[in-house]
Amino acid sequence: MVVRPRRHPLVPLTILLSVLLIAMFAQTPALTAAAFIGAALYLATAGRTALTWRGILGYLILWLLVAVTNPLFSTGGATPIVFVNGRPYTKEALLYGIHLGGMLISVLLWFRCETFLVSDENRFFLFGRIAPKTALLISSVLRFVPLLRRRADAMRAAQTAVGVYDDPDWLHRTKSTMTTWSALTTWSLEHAIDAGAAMKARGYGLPGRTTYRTCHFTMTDAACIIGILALDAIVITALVAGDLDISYYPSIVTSPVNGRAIAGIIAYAALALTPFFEFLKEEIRWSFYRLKM
Amino acid sequence: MKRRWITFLLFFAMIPAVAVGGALVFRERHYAWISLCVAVLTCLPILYDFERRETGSADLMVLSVLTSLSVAGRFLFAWLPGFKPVTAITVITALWLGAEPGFIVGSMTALLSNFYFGQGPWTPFQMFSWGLIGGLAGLLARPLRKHKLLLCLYGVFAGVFYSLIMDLWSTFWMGEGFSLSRYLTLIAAALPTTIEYAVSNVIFLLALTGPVGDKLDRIRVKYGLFRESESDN
Repeated sequence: MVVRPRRHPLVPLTILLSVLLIAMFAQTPALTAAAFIGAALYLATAGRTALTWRGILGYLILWLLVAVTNPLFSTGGATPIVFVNGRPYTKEALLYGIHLGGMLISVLLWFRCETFLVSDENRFFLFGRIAPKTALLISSVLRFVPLLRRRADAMRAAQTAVGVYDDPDWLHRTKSTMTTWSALTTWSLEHAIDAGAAMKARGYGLPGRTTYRTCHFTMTDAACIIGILALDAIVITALVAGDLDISYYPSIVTSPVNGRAIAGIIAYAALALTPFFEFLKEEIRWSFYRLKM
Repeated sequence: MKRRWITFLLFFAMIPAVAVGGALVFRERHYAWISLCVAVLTCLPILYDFERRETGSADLMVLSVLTSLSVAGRFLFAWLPGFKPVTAITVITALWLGAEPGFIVGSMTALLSNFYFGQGPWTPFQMFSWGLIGGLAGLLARPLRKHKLLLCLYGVFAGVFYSLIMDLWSTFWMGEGFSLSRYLTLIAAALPTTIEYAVSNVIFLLALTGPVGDKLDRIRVKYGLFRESESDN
């Protein structure tokens, strides 16, 4: 098992939220590109186990769909390529569609990255402190769902053996699934009362009892978070000042490039690429350790 | 009690503040930003109230079992696409256990089923719309329990409402600002699904309200759960 130096889970969470929020709402091709590259590199390395060709194809199709359909709805551009039903299909709208699709894909990819950046137990640690009941609800549901599916399968198998489930008739099948469902409800509600009693017996709700493992917040963690927030501030300053503005209609106009804009883009790229470089650093360190063994 | 009201008022003052503040930073995408704020910030006070209130361990487990049942329902009925008991379970919970449990089960189902079906920026919108469907059913519990026809109408309303909110999400996120033609196109494209939602909601409500409602009523009375909602009955 690989033991990595533990950083407080607030640090990756702050990076994730900063990158995600800006990627969702800022409208600058450079920022979108940075978010996309950061997520793609991270997923291709740290998250490569979860990547499938079908998934990648799905993202590409979604991107294409958003890009191609955008000019059908907005005809604001000044350079028509073709006319569809008498409405212009403009170059500007197509480019804007490509940008919007890229933005959407980057956001989706960052949601995928979340799985690898913040592990389950850390998510519960962060969540369990602010919202202990909700966190408990979530973790128990995650345990109940597979259990209920197994119970439903067992009941279905029994019913099939008796010969009441296998009817190809649509209505009959719906009815028997409803019956299984109803039985499942009874079974599970009784179980819930038992689980509640067991929790009470083990001291649920008593003061000083936590539902998560603890992590310690060190000075390094604080420094990391301050650094992330400083980078955020640089990007947001540029956004508020309008240095990163781009308008697509009627023709593409970008704000003149100035120092603030460049600083904002560099700061955002640093944020978006940090998870990837962190992962790379750890990998290199580990292969180095293994070499020394 | 007084403090709770102040917290609530502060919160509702915060929604426009956050929305306007963000709209200044993210000028071009302010529709998307404001809609996300409204979706997230509507869910928060109810979850906050749920956190603050004393909830017995059995109450909590019943809520999580009901949520699991509606998440598992998405798998159990997987052979019939679009046919999901989520709305029915949410509404039944609301009718028998109260508006807040209804909201919690609806919004948590959205959050948790997306652990299996994929999280994305749509999650808060699903939480918002399913939560509201549950909360509203809880407020209308008395007439809805009495008249089957009203319950069916509510099922249709829930299906249409959910579809309209999700199409609104797509409109904001796939295009710039709000374009009515895009919204109408999306609604038209989603029409078969919307009808399917509405029909399946009615079928599930008619089939499940009796048996599941009786079971909920039974454990509520037998074990004295959810005492706060008892005053409505």
